[in-house]
Amino acid sequence: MVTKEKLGKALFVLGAIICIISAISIFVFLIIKSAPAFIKIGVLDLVFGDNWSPSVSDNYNNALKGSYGIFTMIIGTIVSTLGALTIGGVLGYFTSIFLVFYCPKKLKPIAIMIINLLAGIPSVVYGFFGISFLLPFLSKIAPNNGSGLLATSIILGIMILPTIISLSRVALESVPRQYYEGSVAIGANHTSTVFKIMVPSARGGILASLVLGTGRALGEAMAVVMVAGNFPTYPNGLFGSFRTLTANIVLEMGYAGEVQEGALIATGVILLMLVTTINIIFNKISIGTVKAIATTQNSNKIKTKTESILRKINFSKIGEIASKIAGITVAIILFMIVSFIFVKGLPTIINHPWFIFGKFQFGSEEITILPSLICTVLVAVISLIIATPIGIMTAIYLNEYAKKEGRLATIVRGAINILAGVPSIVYGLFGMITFVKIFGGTSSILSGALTISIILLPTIVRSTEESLKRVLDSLRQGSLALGAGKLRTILKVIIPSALPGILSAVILSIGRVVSESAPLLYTMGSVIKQIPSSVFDSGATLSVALYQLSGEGWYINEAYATAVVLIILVFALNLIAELTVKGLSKRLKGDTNEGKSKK
Amino acid sequence: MKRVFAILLAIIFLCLASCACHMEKNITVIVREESSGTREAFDKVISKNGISLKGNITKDAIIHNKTGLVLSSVASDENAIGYVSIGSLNDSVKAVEINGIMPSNETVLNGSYKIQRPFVIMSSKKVPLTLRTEDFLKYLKSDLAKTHTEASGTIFIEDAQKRANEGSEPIEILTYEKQNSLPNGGKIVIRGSTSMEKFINSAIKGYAELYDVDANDIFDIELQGSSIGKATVENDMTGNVIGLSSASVNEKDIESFYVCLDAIAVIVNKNTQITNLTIEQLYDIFTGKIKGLSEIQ
Repeated sequence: MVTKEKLGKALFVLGAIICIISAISIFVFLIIKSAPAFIKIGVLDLVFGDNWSPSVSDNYNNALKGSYGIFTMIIGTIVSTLGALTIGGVLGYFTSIFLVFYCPKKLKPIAIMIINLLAGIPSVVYGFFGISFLLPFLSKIAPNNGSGLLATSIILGIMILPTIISLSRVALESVPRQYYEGSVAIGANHTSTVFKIMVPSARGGILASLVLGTGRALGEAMAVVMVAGNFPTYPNGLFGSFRTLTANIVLEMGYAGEVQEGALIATGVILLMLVTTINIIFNKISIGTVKAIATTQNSNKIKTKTESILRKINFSKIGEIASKIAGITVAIILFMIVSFIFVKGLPTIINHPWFIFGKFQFGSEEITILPSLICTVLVAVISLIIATPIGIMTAIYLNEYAKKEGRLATIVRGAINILAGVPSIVYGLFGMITFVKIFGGTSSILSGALTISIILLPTIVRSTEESLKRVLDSLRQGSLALGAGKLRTILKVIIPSALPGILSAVILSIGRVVSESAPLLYTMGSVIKQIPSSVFDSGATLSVALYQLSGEGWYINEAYATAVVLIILVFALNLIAELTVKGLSKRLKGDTNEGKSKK
Repeated sequence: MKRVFAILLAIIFLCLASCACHMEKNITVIVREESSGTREAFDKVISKNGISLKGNITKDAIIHNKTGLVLSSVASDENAIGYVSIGSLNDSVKAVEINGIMPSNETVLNGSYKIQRPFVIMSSKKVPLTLRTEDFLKYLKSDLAKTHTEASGTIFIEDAQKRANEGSEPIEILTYEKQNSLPNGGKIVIRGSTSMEKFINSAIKGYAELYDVDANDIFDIELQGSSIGKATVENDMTGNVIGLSSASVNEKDIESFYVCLDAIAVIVNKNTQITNLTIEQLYDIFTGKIKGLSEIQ
C-alpha cells in the first residue's frame, strides 16, 4: 500500500515537473537558437536598431549584407497594444458593468455564451474580417487604404474583449452583495451604487483583466499581419504602415536565410520577454487585489463614500448610458463579424457540397476541406492524449499534495503562468526548432500536436485545479476516515466529483486546437492536400487551411466557407462544454450522495 | 481609472482630427515581404539611374506575405498598385503595360517584358537519388513539363542554355520515356516555393496519371517557402527530396535547373485609367516620389 501511495505521488509530481521543464525549455531553446544571431548582429544593434532589411544569403561565417534592427517593431507592438487596450478596454469595462448590473436576467446567459464564442473565433477570421470589411470602411477617412495603427487597434481591441469582459465580470460579481444592499439602504440609487461602490471595489480584478488583455494583444499574430501594413517603420499617426514583432515572424519565417532565421527567433525572445514582464505585473496585481478586497471590508469606509457620492449622481448617469451603449456595441460587432462571414461563405457550402466531403485531387479546382477536418481531429486527439494526463496530474499535485506556499508548488504555478502567457507564434517557433528537428526536419502532424499540447497544458491544469478546489473537504475527510488511502481517495472520490470541470476543460481545449493557426504554420504544415496516412505526414488544420485559402487568392469563396465551418464548430464545442458541465454536475450530485451513504 | 480613460479618449479625438485634415488620397503601394522571390525579382528590375528599388521602398508601403492579399487589397482600393505572379492574375484587377509592353509568352521569352524570374527545380548533389525521384526529375526536364507550365500560366523555357544556371552545362529538353512500371523508391518529398504550387500540382497529377496511380500515394508535398525547400534538399539523406525555388539557386550542394519563366504583372484597380507605366515611373511610385495618381499622366 505504501509503495503504491508513493508511486502515485511520484506520478503527480512528474506531471508538475513536466510543466516546469516545458516552461524552461521554451526559454532555453529560443535563447540558444537566437544566441548566434544576437552575437553576430550585436545585441544593441538588434534590439535598438531601426533598420530591418534582411538579406537571404547572409550566414554566420561571412560579413552581413543586411541589417537586422527590430526597434521599430518593438515600438509598433507596444503602441498597437496600447491602442487595443484603449478600444477593447473601454468597451470591455463598460460591457462587463452592463452585463452584471443592467442586463435583463433572461438575456445574460445568452450574452455570456456569445462572448465566449467571440473568444473562440480563430484569429485568422478576425484578420479576414479586418481586411475585407474594416479596411475598405476606414479607407474613406484615411489617406491610405486604411491599414495601420487604427485598424490594428480596432481588430486587437475586439479580440481582447472576451478576456476583459469575462474577467471583469467575475470581479464585479464577486463583490459582496452586502455592499450593494448597504449603499441602497442609505438611499443611493442603483446607478450610483454601481459606479461608486461596486465598480471601485472590483477595481483590482478589472485592472488584472486589462493586464491579461494586454498580454493577448501583444502576442496576437495572424490577424495583425493582415491589417497593420507591415512596413518595418515606426507607427506614424492612426494610418500608415507599421510592423509588430509577431507580424515580423509570420511574414518572413518561410523564406528566411540563416542569419534572418536567427534574428526572427530573437524577435520571438524579445516578445517573450515583453509578455513575461506583463505576466509578472499581472501576478503582482492579483495578489494586490486580494489584499485590497480584504482592506475594503470596512463598512465605515463605504458609508462615508456613499454619503459623498450622493452629491454627484450625474457622473454615474453618464456611466450608465456608456455601459448600455457598450453592451449594444459589442452585440453589433459580433453580429457584424458573424453575419459578414456567413453571408459570404454559406452560398459556397450550399452550392458545392463536395467542398466539405469531397475527395482531394491534385490540380483540381474543386477544393475540399475534408482532409483539413481530419487533420484537425487528429491533432486534437493526439494533443489531448498528451496534455490531459499531464495537466490533471499537475493539478492533483497542486491541490492535493503540495503545501500552499511550498517551493515546488510556487515554481509549478510560476511555470503554468508563464506557459499561459507565451504567445502562440512563439510556441510555433519553439515547435519548429525542437519537435520538427527531432522528427527529421520536416513538419508533421505529430510535431504540430506536441506543440499544441504544451499550449493546452495551462488551461487544463488551471480548470482542473479549479474544479478540484470545489470538491468538498468533507468528501476527502469522509473517505480518509473510512480507511481509504490518499491515492484511493483521489482516484475514487475526488476525480469523479471533479469530472464535469475536467471534461469542460478538455472540450474547450478542443476549441483552442481548432482555432489556433500560428503555432501550426511551421510545425505541422500548411498545404491543403490528401488525407494524411500517418502522424508523420504533414497537413493543414482548418484554421491554417483558411489562412492558406485566403492567401493565394484563387479560392476566396472557399476561404469564407471554411470560416463558416470553423465558427459553427467552435460554437458547437462551446455548447457541448456548457451542456456537459450542467448534465454531469446534476448527475454527480446524486451519485456522490449515494456513494457517501453507501460507504 | 476614469481619468485615464478620459485622457485616452482625448488622444483619440486629437488624432482623428489631425487625420481628417489631409484628405487627398495617396497611392497605396503594396509590396511583398523582404524575402519573397516575387519581390526580389521585382526590386531587381525596377531601377532609375542605376539604383535599384531594394532598400528604397517608401515607408508608406503595405507589405503582404500572400499573393491573395495583394490581389484583394488592389481589388478593393482604387488607389492601389501592386504586383503578382502572372499565374495568379485574375479578373478582379487589371495588369498594366510596362514601357508599353504587356506580359505574354513572347515578350517574356525575348526579354522585352523585363519583370520576370525563373522557377527552379532542385535536387541533392550529395546523395544518390532513388529511381523514382530520378524518373520524376526526368519527367520535369522533358517536353511533357510544357503542358504543366501552361496550365499554371508560366512560360516554358525552350533554350537549353537558359535552362541551366549561368556558367553551367546546357540542359537539353528530352523526350520522356515511360517506364514499364512505376520506378522503385519511397514517397517523393516536395518542398519549397508557394508560388510554384499550381505548376507542381499539375505536374504531380500528370505523372501519377501516366502510371495510373494515386498521386497521394507517391508524393508528399508541403510548400512553405523557397528557403525551406533549399534547406530540405541540403539535408536530404534519402534521395527522395525535390525542392522548388522561385529565385535562382547558387548553393554548391544543390543540383538545379530552370523549368519555366514567370512574369510578374504590375496590377492596379479596374476602375483606374492607367494602362501603361514606365520602369522609371514604377521606381518613383514605389519609392514614394510620386504620391498621387494624378501625377502619372
